[in-house]
Amino acid sequence: MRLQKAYETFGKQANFYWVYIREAHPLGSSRPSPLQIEQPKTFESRQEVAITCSVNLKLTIPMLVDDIDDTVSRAFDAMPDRMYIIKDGRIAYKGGRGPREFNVAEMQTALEKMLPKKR
Amino acid sequence: MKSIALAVVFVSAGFLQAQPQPNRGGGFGRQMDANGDGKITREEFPGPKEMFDQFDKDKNNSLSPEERDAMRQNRTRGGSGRGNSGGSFRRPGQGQGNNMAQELFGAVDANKDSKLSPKEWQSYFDKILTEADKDKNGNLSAEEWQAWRQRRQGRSSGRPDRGLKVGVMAPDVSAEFMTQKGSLDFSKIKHLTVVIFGSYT
Repeated sequence: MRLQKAYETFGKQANFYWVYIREAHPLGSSRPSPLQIEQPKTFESRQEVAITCSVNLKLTIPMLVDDIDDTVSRAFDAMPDRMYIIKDGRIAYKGGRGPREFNVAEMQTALEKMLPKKR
Repeated sequence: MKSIALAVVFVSAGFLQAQPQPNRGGGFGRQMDANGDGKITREEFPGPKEMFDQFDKDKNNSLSPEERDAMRQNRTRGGSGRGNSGGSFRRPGQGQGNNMAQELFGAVDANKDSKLSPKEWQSYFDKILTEADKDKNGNLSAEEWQAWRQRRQGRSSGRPDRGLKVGVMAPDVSAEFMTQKGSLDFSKIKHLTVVIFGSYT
Protein backbone atom coordinates (compact mmCIF):
# COMPACT_ATOMS: atom_id res chain seq x y z
CA MET A 1 0.00 0.00 0.00
CA ARG A 2 1.45 3.29 -1.13
CA LEU A 3 0.41 5.30 1.90
CA GLN A 4 2.04 2.82 4.24
CA LYS A 5 5.17 3.17 2.14
CA ALA A 6 4.99 6.97 2.32
CA TYR A 7 4.68 6.68 6.08
CA GLU A 8 7.74 4.44 6.25
CA THR A 9 9.68 6.91 4.12
CA PHE A 10 8.65 10.19 5.76
CA GLY A 11 7.34 9.05 9.15
CA LYS A 12 10.42 10.34 10.95
CA GLN A 13 10.18 13.81 9.45
CA ALA A 14 6.42 14.31 9.66
CA ASN A 15 3.59 12.96 11.77
CA PHE A 16 1.10 10.76 9.99
CA TYR A 17 -2.42 10.09 11.18
CA TRP A 18 -5.06 7.96 9.55
CA VAL A 19 -8.55 9.04 10.54
CA TYR A 20 -11.01 6.22 10.18
CA ILE A 21 -14.31 7.71 8.99
CA ARG A 22 -17.76 6.59 7.84
CA GLU A 23 -17.73 3.58 5.54
CA ALA A 24 -18.08 4.58 1.90
CA HIS A 25 -19.55 1.31 0.63
CA PRO A 26 -21.19 -0.59 3.51
CA LEU A 27 -23.74 -3.37 3.20
CA GLY A 28 -27.11 -2.03 2.16
CA SER A 29 -25.65 0.94 0.27
CA SER A 30 -26.09 1.37 -3.46
CA ARG A 31 -22.66 -0.11 -4.18
CA PRO A 32 -21.72 -2.37 -1.27
CA SER A 33 -18.10 -3.47 -1.06
CA PRO A 34 -17.30 -7.19 -1.34
CA LEU A 35 -15.69 -6.80 2.09
CA GLN A 36 -19.26 -6.88 3.46
CA ILE A 37 -18.90 -4.32 6.20
CA GLU A 38 -21.94 -2.93 7.97
CA GLN A 39 -22.05 0.79 8.65
CA PRO A 40 -21.09 1.09 12.34
CA LYS A 41 -23.86 2.66 14.38
CA THR A 42 -21.91 3.30 17.56
CA PHE A 43 -18.45 4.67 18.24
CA GLU A 44 -17.39 1.30 19.69
CA SER A 45 -18.41 -0.62 16.59
CA ARG A 46 -16.65 1.98 14.45
CA GLN A 47 -13.54 1.41 16.52
CA GLU A 48 -13.79 -2.33 15.91
CA VAL A 49 -14.02 -1.90 12.15
CA ALA A 50 -11.09 0.52 12.28
CA ILE A 51 -8.98 -2.10 14.04
CA THR A 52 -9.99 -4.80 11.54
CA CYS A 53 -9.14 -2.43 8.73
CA SER A 54 -5.69 -1.53 10.05
CA VAL A 55 -4.84 -5.17 10.77
CA ASN A 56 -6.01 -6.49 7.42
CA LEU A 57 -4.35 -3.72 5.46
CA LYS A 58 -1.18 -4.08 7.56
CA LEU A 59 -1.19 -0.38 8.42
CA THR A 60 1.17 0.91 11.05
CA ILE A 61 0.16 4.55 10.53
CA PRO A 62 -1.27 5.79 13.88
CA MET A 63 -5.02 5.61 13.60
CA LEU A 64 -7.72 7.89 14.92
CA VAL A 65 -11.44 7.18 14.87
CA ASP A 66 -13.98 9.84 13.99
CA ASP A 67 -17.02 10.10 16.27
CA ILE A 68 -20.33 8.67 15.18
CA ASP A 69 -21.60 12.13 14.15
CA ASP A 70 -18.69 12.37 11.70
CA THR A 71 -17.51 15.63 13.27
CA VAL A 72 -13.96 15.51 11.90
CA SER A 73 -14.95 14.12 8.53
CA ARG A 74 -17.47 16.95 8.07
CA ALA A 75 -15.02 19.62 9.14
CA PHE A 76 -12.54 18.44 6.50
CA ASP A 77 -15.15 17.36 3.91
CA ALA A 78 -13.25 14.11 3.89
CA MET A 79 -15.76 11.61 2.52
CA PRO A 80 -15.05 9.14 1.02
CA ASP A 81 -11.30 9.64 1.37
CA ARG A 82 -8.93 12.53 1.28
CA MET A 83 -5.51 13.78 2.46
CA TYR A 84 -4.36 17.02 4.00
CA ILE A 85 -1.03 18.30 5.23
CA ILE A 86 -1.05 20.62 8.23
CA LYS A 87 1.94 22.87 8.74
CA ASP A 88 2.31 25.50 11.48
CA GLY A 89 -1.31 24.95 12.44
CA ARG A 90 -2.62 25.72 8.96
CA ILE A 91 -3.73 23.68 5.99
CA ALA A 92 -0.65 23.50 3.77
CA TYR A 93 -1.92 20.93 1.29
CA LYS A 94 -5.42 19.88 0.40
CA GLY A 95 -5.77 16.68 -1.55
CA GLY A 96 -8.67 16.02 -3.88
CA ARG A 97 -11.65 13.91 -2.94
CA GLY A 98 -11.29 10.21 -3.47
CA PRO A 99 -11.40 7.91 -5.08
CA ARG A 100 -10.83 9.78 -8.32
CA GLU A 101 -8.74 12.63 -7.01
CA PHE A 102 -6.97 10.80 -4.20
CA ASN A 103 -3.37 11.14 -5.30
CA VAL A 104 -0.63 9.79 -3.04
CA ALA A 105 2.16 10.83 -5.41
CA GLU A 106 0.90 14.42 -5.45
CA MET A 107 0.69 14.52 -1.65
CA GLN A 108 4.19 13.11 -1.41
CA THR A 109 5.59 15.75 -3.75
CA ALA A 110 3.91 18.47 -1.69
CA LEU A 111 5.25 16.98 1.53
CA GLU A 112 8.80 16.73 0.22
CA LYS A 113 8.74 20.44 -0.58
CA MET A 114 7.72 21.25 3.00
CA LEU A 115 10.47 19.22 4.63
CA PRO A 116 13.52 21.09 5.84
CA LYS A 117 16.24 21.04 3.21
CA LYS A 118 18.99 18.49 3.76
CA ARG A 119 22.47 19.94 4.06
CA MET B 1 -12.48 11.40 -34.89
CA LYS B 2 -14.80 8.44 -35.07
CA SER B 3 -13.73 7.50 -38.57
CA ILE B 4 -10.09 7.49 -37.50
CA ALA B 5 -10.82 5.27 -34.55
CA LEU B 6 -12.91 2.86 -36.62
CA ALA B 7 -10.23 2.64 -39.23
CA VAL B 8 -7.67 1.83 -36.58
CA VAL B 9 -9.81 -1.08 -35.45
CA PHE B 10 -9.81 -2.30 -39.01
CA VAL B 11 -6.07 -1.99 -39.36
CA SER B 12 -5.48 -3.63 -36.03
CA ALA B 13 -7.90 -6.49 -36.58
CA GLY B 14 -6.76 -7.18 -40.08
CA PHE B 15 -3.03 -6.99 -39.67
CA LEU B 16 -1.71 -6.48 -36.21
CA GLN B 17 -3.35 -9.50 -34.73
CA ALA B 18 -2.73 -11.67 -37.73
CA GLN B 19 0.93 -10.62 -37.86
CA PRO B 20 1.98 -9.95 -34.29
CA GLN B 21 5.70 -10.39 -34.93
CA PRO B 22 7.57 -7.26 -35.96
CA ASN B 23 9.26 -7.97 -39.22
CA ARG B 24 10.94 -5.24 -41.21
CA GLY B 25 10.05 -5.25 -44.83
CA GLY B 26 7.32 -7.85 -44.36
CA GLY B 27 4.92 -8.52 -41.50
CA PHE B 28 3.01 -5.48 -40.50
CA GLY B 29 1.43 -3.83 -43.49
CA ARG B 30 2.51 -6.51 -45.96
CA GLN B 31 -1.08 -7.13 -46.96
CA MET B 32 -1.57 -3.44 -47.59
CA ASP B 33 1.21 -3.54 -50.13
CA ALA B 34 -1.01 -4.76 -52.95
CA ASN B 35 1.61 -4.69 -55.69
CA GLY B 36 4.32 -6.13 -53.43
CA ASP B 37 6.92 -3.42 -54.10
CA GLY B 38 7.74 -3.00 -50.38
CA LYS B 39 6.03 0.38 -50.15
CA ILE B 40 2.51 1.31 -49.25
CA THR B 41 1.15 4.06 -51.41
CA ARG B 42 -1.65 6.38 -50.46
CA GLU B 43 -3.98 4.35 -52.70
CA GLU B 44 -2.99 1.06 -51.05
CA PHE B 45 -3.37 2.35 -47.50
CA PRO B 46 -6.79 1.34 -46.12
CA GLY B 47 -6.79 3.74 -43.14
CA PRO B 48 -7.71 7.40 -42.95
CA LYS B 49 -5.79 10.07 -44.77
CA GLU B 50 -4.76 11.73 -41.51
CA MET B 51 -3.07 8.58 -40.30
CA PHE B 52 -1.19 8.18 -43.55
CA ASP B 53 -0.03 11.82 -43.34
CA GLN B 54 1.10 11.34 -39.76
CA PHE B 55 3.46 8.51 -40.64
CA ASP B 56 4.57 9.55 -44.10
CA LYS B 57 7.41 11.55 -42.61
CA ASP B 58 9.25 12.30 -45.84
CA LYS B 59 5.97 13.22 -47.59
CA ASN B 60 6.71 11.10 -50.63
CA ASN B 61 3.19 9.65 -50.61
CA SER B 62 4.36 6.18 -49.73
CA LEU B 63 5.17 4.43 -46.49
CA SER B 64 8.62 2.89 -46.36
CA PRO B 65 9.35 -0.16 -44.15
CA GLU B 66 10.77 2.26 -41.54
CA GLU B 67 7.65 4.40 -41.56
CA ARG B 68 5.53 1.27 -41.28
CA ASP B 69 7.60 0.18 -38.29
CA ALA B 70 6.96 3.52 -36.64
CA MET B 71 3.26 3.04 -37.25
CA ARG B 72 3.33 -0.45 -35.82
CA GLN B 73 5.19 0.70 -32.72
CA ASN B 74 2.81 3.54 -32.24
CA ARG B 75 -0.11 1.12 -32.46
CA THR B 76 1.46 -1.27 -29.98
CA ARG B 77 2.11 1.50 -27.49
CA GLY B 78 -1.44 2.74 -27.80
CA GLY B 79 -2.86 -0.72 -27.24
CA SER B 80 -1.72 -1.05 -23.66
CA GLY B 81 -1.71 1.13 -20.59
CA ARG B 82 -4.05 3.94 -19.75
CA GLY B 83 -4.56 7.38 -21.16
CA ASN B 84 -4.19 8.49 -24.69
CA SER B 85 -0.54 9.33 -24.72
CA GLY B 86 1.99 8.77 -27.43
CA GLY B 87 -0.18 10.17 -30.17
CA SER B 88 -2.03 6.90 -30.55
CA PHE B 89 -5.69 6.33 -31.23
CA ARG B 90 -8.11 4.30 -29.20
CA ARG B 91 -10.96 2.06 -30.15
CA PRO B 92 -14.46 3.29 -29.40
CA GLY B 93 -15.52 2.16 -25.96
CA GLN B 94 -11.99 1.29 -24.94
CA GLY B 95 -11.46 2.98 -21.59
CA GLN B 96 -12.17 6.67 -21.52
CA GLY B 97 -9.65 7.68 -24.11
CA ASN B 98 -12.13 8.16 -26.90
CA ASN B 99 -14.58 10.14 -24.78
CA MET B 100 -11.81 12.37 -23.54
CA ALA B 101 -10.51 12.88 -27.04
CA GLN B 102 -13.99 13.81 -28.24
CA GLU B 103 -14.54 16.11 -25.31
CA LEU B 104 -11.24 17.83 -25.97
CA PHE B 105 -12.06 18.16 -29.65
CA GLY B 106 -15.38 19.75 -28.79
CA ALA B 107 -13.80 22.11 -26.31
CA VAL B 108 -11.07 23.29 -28.69
CA ASP B 109 -13.27 23.54 -31.78
CA ALA B 110 -14.65 26.97 -30.88
CA ASN B 111 -16.49 27.69 -34.15
CA LYS B 112 -17.86 24.12 -34.27
CA ASP B 113 -16.81 23.48 -37.86
CA SER B 114 -15.43 20.05 -36.89
CA LYS B 115 -11.91 21.22 -37.65
CA LEU B 116 -9.18 22.28 -35.28
CA SER B 117 -7.08 25.24 -36.26
CA PRO B 118 -3.82 26.46 -34.69
CA LYS B 119 -5.73 29.59 -33.65
CA GLU B 120 -8.33 27.52 -31.81
CA TRP B 121 -5.62 25.56 -30.01
CA GLN B 122 -3.93 28.79 -29.03
CA SER B 123 -7.07 30.41 -27.67
CA TYR B 124 -7.98 27.21 -25.83
CA PHE B 125 -4.55 27.18 -24.22
CA ASP B 126 -4.80 30.91 -23.41
CA LYS B 127 -8.09 30.21 -21.67
CA ILE B 128 -6.51 27.47 -19.56
CA LEU B 129 -3.60 29.75 -18.84
CA THR B 130 -5.80 32.50 -17.37
CA GLU B 131 -7.39 29.95 -15.02
CA ALA B 132 -4.37 27.81 -14.19
CA ASP B 133 -1.25 29.99 -14.31
CA LYS B 134 -1.26 30.88 -10.63
CA ASP B 135 2.18 32.48 -10.55
CA LYS B 136 1.42 34.42 -13.78
CA ASN B 137 4.71 33.54 -15.41
CA GLY B 138 3.09 32.79 -18.76
CA ASN B 139 3.46 29.04 -18.69
CA LEU B 140 2.11 26.06 -16.78
CA SER B 141 4.12 23.98 -14.37
CA ALA B 142 3.19 20.33 -13.83
CA GLU B 143 1.65 21.30 -10.49
CA GLU B 144 -0.42 24.11 -11.97
CA TRP B 145 -1.65 21.82 -14.71
CA GLN B 146 -2.59 19.08 -12.27
CA ALA B 147 -4.34 21.51 -9.93
CA TRP B 148 -6.34 22.93 -12.82
CA ARG B 149 -7.39 19.46 -13.96
CA GLN B 150 -8.43 18.59 -10.44
CA ARG B 151 -10.47 21.74 -10.05
CA ARG B 152 -12.26 20.92 -13.28
CA GLN B 153 -12.93 17.34 -12.32
CA GLY B 154 -14.14 18.49 -8.92
CA ARG B 155 -16.57 20.83 -10.58
CA SER B 156 -18.00 18.10 -12.76
CA SER B 157 -18.38 15.53 -9.98
CA GLY B 158 -21.57 17.06 -8.65
CA ARG B 159 -21.24 17.62 -4.92
CA PRO B 160 -19.49 20.90 -4.18
CA ASP B 161 -16.10 20.57 -2.56
CA ARG B 162 -16.33 21.98 0.95
CA GLY B 163 -12.81 20.94 1.83
CA LEU B 164 -10.57 23.25 3.82
CA LYS B 165 -8.62 25.68 1.71
CA VAL B 166 -4.87 25.91 1.83
CA GLY B 167 -3.84 28.60 4.31
CA VAL B 168 -6.79 28.36 6.70
CA MET B 169 -6.28 27.34 10.33
CA ALA B 170 -6.74 23.65 11.11
CA PRO B 171 -10.28 23.20 12.47
CA ASP B 172 -11.10 22.95 16.14
CA VAL B 173 -12.18 19.31 16.12
CA SER B 174 -10.68 16.22 17.67
CA ALA B 175 -10.70 12.46 17.25
CA GLU B 176 -9.82 9.63 19.60
CA PHE B 177 -6.88 7.35 19.01
CA MET B 178 -7.88 3.88 17.89
CA THR B 179 -6.01 1.79 20.42
CA GLN B 180 -4.39 4.09 22.94
CA LYS B 181 -6.20 6.48 25.27
CA GLY B 182 -6.44 10.13 24.41
CA SER B 183 -7.41 12.20 21.43
CA LEU B 184 -5.86 14.52 18.89
CA ASP B 185 -7.05 18.10 18.63
CA PHE B 186 -6.46 19.16 15.05
CA SER B 187 -6.30 22.86 15.93
CA LYS B 188 -3.37 22.16 18.24
CA ILE B 189 -1.17 20.40 15.71
CA LYS B 190 2.20 22.13 15.59
CA HIS B 191 4.49 19.63 13.89
CA LEU B 192 4.30 18.97 10.14
CA THR B 193 1.47 16.44 9.87
CA VAL B 194 -0.10 14.35 7.15
CA VAL B 195 -3.74 13.50 7.81
CA ILE B 196 -5.31 10.71 5.81
CA PHE B 197 -9.06 10.14 5.86
CA GLY B 198 -10.55 6.87 4.77
CA SER B 199 -12.67 3.88 5.57
CA TYR B 200 -12.26 0.15 5.03
CA THR B 201 -14.50 -0.01 1.98
